[in-house]
Amino acid sequence: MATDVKLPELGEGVTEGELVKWLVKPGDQVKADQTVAEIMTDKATVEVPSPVAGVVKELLFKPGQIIKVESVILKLEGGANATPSAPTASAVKSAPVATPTPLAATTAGGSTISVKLPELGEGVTEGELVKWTVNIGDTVKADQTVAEIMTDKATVEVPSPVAGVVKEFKFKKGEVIKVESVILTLAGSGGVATSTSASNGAHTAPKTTSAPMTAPTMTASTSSGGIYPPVADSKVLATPATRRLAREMGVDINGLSGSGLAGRVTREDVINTKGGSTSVSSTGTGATSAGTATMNFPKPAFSSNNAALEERVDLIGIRKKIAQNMQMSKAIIPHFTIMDDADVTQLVALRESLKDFAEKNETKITYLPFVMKAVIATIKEFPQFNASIDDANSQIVYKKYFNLGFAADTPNGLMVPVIKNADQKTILELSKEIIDLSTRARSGKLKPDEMKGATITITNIGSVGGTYATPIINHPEVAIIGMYKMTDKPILKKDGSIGFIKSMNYTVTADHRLIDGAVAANFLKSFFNKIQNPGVMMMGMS
Amino acid sequence: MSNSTFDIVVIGSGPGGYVAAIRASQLGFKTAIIEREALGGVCLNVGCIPSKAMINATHLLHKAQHDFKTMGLNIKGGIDVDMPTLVKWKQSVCDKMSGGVKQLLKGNTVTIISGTAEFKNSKELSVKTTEGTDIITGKHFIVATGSRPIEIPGFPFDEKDICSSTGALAFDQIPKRIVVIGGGYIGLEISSYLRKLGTEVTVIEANTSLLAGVVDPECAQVVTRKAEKAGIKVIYGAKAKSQKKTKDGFEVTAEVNGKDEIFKADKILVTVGRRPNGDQANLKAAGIYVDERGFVKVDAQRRTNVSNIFAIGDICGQPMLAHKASHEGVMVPEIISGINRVYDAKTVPAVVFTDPEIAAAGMTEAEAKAKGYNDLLIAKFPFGANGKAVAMMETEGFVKMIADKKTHVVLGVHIVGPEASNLISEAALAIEMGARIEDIALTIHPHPTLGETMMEAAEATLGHAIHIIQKPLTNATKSAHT
Repeated sequence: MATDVKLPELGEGVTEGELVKWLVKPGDQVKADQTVAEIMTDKATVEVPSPVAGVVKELLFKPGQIIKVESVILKLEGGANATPSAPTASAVKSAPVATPTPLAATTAGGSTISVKLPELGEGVTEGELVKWTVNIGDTVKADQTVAEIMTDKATVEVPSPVAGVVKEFKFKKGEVIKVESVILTLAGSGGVATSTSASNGAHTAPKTTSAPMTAPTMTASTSSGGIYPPVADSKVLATPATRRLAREMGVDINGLSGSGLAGRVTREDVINTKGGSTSVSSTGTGATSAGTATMNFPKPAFSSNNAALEERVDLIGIRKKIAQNMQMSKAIIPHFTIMDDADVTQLVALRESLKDFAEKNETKITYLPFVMKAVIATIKEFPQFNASIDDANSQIVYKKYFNLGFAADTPNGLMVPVIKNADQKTILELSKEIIDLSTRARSGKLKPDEMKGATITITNIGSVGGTYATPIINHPEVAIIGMYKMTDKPILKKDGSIGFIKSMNYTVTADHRLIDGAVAANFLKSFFNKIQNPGVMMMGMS
Repeated sequence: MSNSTFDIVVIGSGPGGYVAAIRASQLGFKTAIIEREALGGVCLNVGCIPSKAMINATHLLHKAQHDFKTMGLNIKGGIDVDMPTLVKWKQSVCDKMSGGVKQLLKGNTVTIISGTAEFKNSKELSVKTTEGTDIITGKHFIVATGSRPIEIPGFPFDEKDICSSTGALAFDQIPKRIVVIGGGYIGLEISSYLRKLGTEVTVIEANTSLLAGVVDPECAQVVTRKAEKAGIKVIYGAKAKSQKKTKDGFEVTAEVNGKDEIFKADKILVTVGRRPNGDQANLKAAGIYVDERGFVKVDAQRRTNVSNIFAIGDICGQPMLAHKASHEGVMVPEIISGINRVYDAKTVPAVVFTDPEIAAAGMTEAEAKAKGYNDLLIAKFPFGANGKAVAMMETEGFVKMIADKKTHVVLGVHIVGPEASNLISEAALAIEMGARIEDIALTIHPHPTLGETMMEAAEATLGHAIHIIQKPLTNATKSAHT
C-alpha cells in the first residue's frame, strides 16, 4: 500500500515553500513523525514530518523547487503504522481495534499534565511556534524551556511549569498558537515511559470497567489546535455573520484589526484579507502602545506590468508591526528636527582612558551610555521631552521615570530595546545592559517587556554612516535623539593655525504639538553642554 | 429492518438531537434518529415545555385571585382548580409539540427508530426495540443523549412521592405540603407554581441564597423577596439528610446550621441539579472519552476524540440548556458535510421562569471584572417606571446593563421582571453583534412595551435615562456620545 505524503500547512497565510533539502532518500525506512524534508517559507525554515511510517519510494521534488501546501511531496510504501500527528486518522484507527493495547493499559496510572502557552506579555494574544526545544519522550525539569514562540514583538522561550515526560505536541512548527492553548502534554511521575506514537498514550480514564479497548488519547482533534482558523476570542468584536465569513474564508479573525467603531471587525475587513495573511495587531486589547487606537489608512494596491521582474512577499510579522507603528507615528505626530555638530574631543579622550577599566569589568564602553546620561540630565531640565500626549483625554502626561529606548538593527528588522530606569544606572551598568539587549535583539530573543515602556528613544546609526537623518518618533513618545558618525573636523584655532577636533552630529526630533522649536534648540544646547564637557555632566550625575 | 446503514445517526431526540437530524437531512445525508422515550426528549416532555404550561396557568390563576379585584373584575365564588384537567391540558401541550417533532422528522425523511441504543464500536450501534435488537451502522454519529436529574442518597426517586422534576410535573393532585431540596432554577420554578396552587412549600437550600452562582445576585434577590412574600419558606444553609415515611406523609431531616431539624411533607421534590448521561449508550465501546463527571469531551466543533462521532447538548458540557443544544445541532451536520463551522457564540442566554422571570445574556459584573474589564458602566432601569409594566400590574424588577466604559460595548444584560424571557433576545443579539450601548439607546423602541426598558437601561448607563431621575448631562457624558 503506497501512501502519499503531502506538504502540510506551514503557518498562517503561507501557501508555499521552497524545498531546501531532503533528509531521506528512496529506500529509507522512516518512522511516523520523522522529519523528511526541510522547507523554507518566508517566515522560517520548517521541518516536514512524515505522518506515517513506511519505506520511501519516490521523492517528487528537487531542492530549490517551490512546493504548494497540500502537494504530494513523496510516496511511501507500506504505511504500516498510522499516524500520531493527523488527528482524524489516529482516532479512526484506534477505535475499531479489538484487542487491548497492553502498553496503554499499563501506563494508565500516570497522570497527564497539559502545558499551556502562558501570557506572552501585555496585549499579546498569540505567537508562532518557532521550534520545540524538547522531543517526545524527553524528561523535562520544571522551568526547562520546551518551545520558542515568536510574537510580533519578540521570540519568547516557553518554560514547562512542571517536571514530566513529554508525551504529545499539540502544535507544529509555524503554527500560530493562542495564549492559554494547551501546547503539549506531559506524563507525570510514574507515567508513560514509551510513547513512540501519541495514539498509544493512555488517558487516565477511570479503569472501573474492563473496556474492550483502551480509551484513545485526546489527540489534537479535541484541542482547539486541530481547528483552523482558531475560535474567535470572546473579546473580538464581530457579528456572527462576519465571524462565519472569516471562518469560511480561512481567516483568523483574532488577528484582524477591526476598522469599525470600537475596533469592530467588519465584513469588509475580512474580505480585504482575501483569505490570505492577516494583520498582526489584535483588536480590543491594545496590542499597540497604550492609548493608541488602531487607525485606518488607505490601502492603495500596487500594480505594474512588470510582474515577472518583481517578487511579492507577504507583509507580515515584525515587518508589518513596524510598518503599522511608523505609519501611525508619522500620521499622529507633527515631526520637526533640529541638528548640529558637537565637539566631542573630551568625550573621546575620556572613553579612551576608560578602555582598560572596561576590560577589567569585562565589558566594552561605547559612546551610547554617555549619550544616554547626557540625554537623561537634559530631559530632567526639559520634562516635556519625557512626556506623552493622551489624545483620548486631551492631556499631557509627564513621566517621572526615565526609560531609554535605543534603536537596534537586527536581521528581523528594527527593534527598540528599552533600558528601564536608566537614570539610576551607572555608565558601566548601562554598557552591560546595552550589550546584552542588543545581542538578544539580534538573535530575536528579547522578551516583549524589554521592548516596552520607553519614555524617549535614542537612535545611533553613526556606526554605519550618514551625516544627518530625520528619524520617526516612537509614538507615544514625543522625541527621538539621533547620533551620527564621528569625524575629524578641522577648525581654526585662536592662534590662527588649523587644528582638528572630534566631531559628532546629533539630531533632536520632537513632537511639535508639545515642543516648540526654540525649546528644542535650547534642549540641544543644554545637551551639547554636557556631551562636550563630560566633566560638567558628571557634576550633575546622581 | 434488522441491519441498516446511515450517513448520520443521531442518538437522542431532544432539542439537540432532532434539530441535528433535520439539518442532516436537509444537507442530503441519509439520517436516522434513535429515541428510547418520547420524541422531543426531556425538554418537550418532562422539562421546559410542561413546566411552562403549568407556570402560565398558575400565573393566570394568581392574577385572577390577586389583581382582578383591583382592576374591578370580580369573580363570584372564587376559582376552582381542576387539577386532572390542568394536567391533561399540560400533557396535550407536550403531545402537540412531540407530535410536531415527529412530523418534521418525517417530512425531512429522517428514519425514526424507537429504542435504546448502545455502541458496539465506533461504526455500529445495537438498538433494542420492542421487536428485538437491530444493528445500525453509521458513518457518523451525533450523541445527544442529554442529562437526568441527580439523585441524592436517602431520597430514591419513585416519581410519585419522592420526585424529580419529572414526577412533580405529573402530580394529578395539588400536594398539601412539599419539601423542595435545592433552591436552583428548577426547584424554584416548580415551587412558585405549586405555591400558587396553594401548596405549602419549604425549600431546603444548602447555600446562603437562592439561585446562588446561577444568576446576577441582585436579580436573585428580587425573586427571593417575592417568593418569601408569597409564603414559600426557604431554609438556608441546610442539608437534607434523610426522610422517613409516616402516617401522614414524610418527615424530612435536614441539618440546619449544625442541628437536625424535621420538616413535614406529603411530597418531596429533589432538584439539586442534573448529570450528563455519559454512563449510558456504552460510549466506551466506541472509544469515546467521557470525563469523571460524565461529560463527553468535545472540541469547538463538538467532535469527540473519535473523529466520526460528535456530541451535542447537555452530554458535552455546560450550560445544559436546550437552545445551546439546538445551536450545536444545526452546526454539527454542517461540519460533517465539510463546511467550516465552530462553536463561537459569545453568549448563551439563560432564562429562569420564576416569578418574576430572570433572564441573562453575557457577563455578570464579576465575570466582566475577571475578564479584565476594569472600568464598567452599569445601570439599572426599573419596570416600575415602564408604562406597560404598570398597566400589567407587574412592576417588580429591572433591566441591568453592563458595558465596557472604554468602548461602550455591551458586555452583559440581566433582567428580572415581567417577560424577561422574551426581552433577553434583544440583549443576546446586541452582544453577538458587538453593539455599543448607544446602538440600543438610539434604536427606537415601540411604546408602550416592556422592551422600552432595554433602551432606557442603555440610556441609564450613559447617565441620562428619561423616565428615572438621573443627574443632568455633564460634558463628560456628552462627549462620550461618539
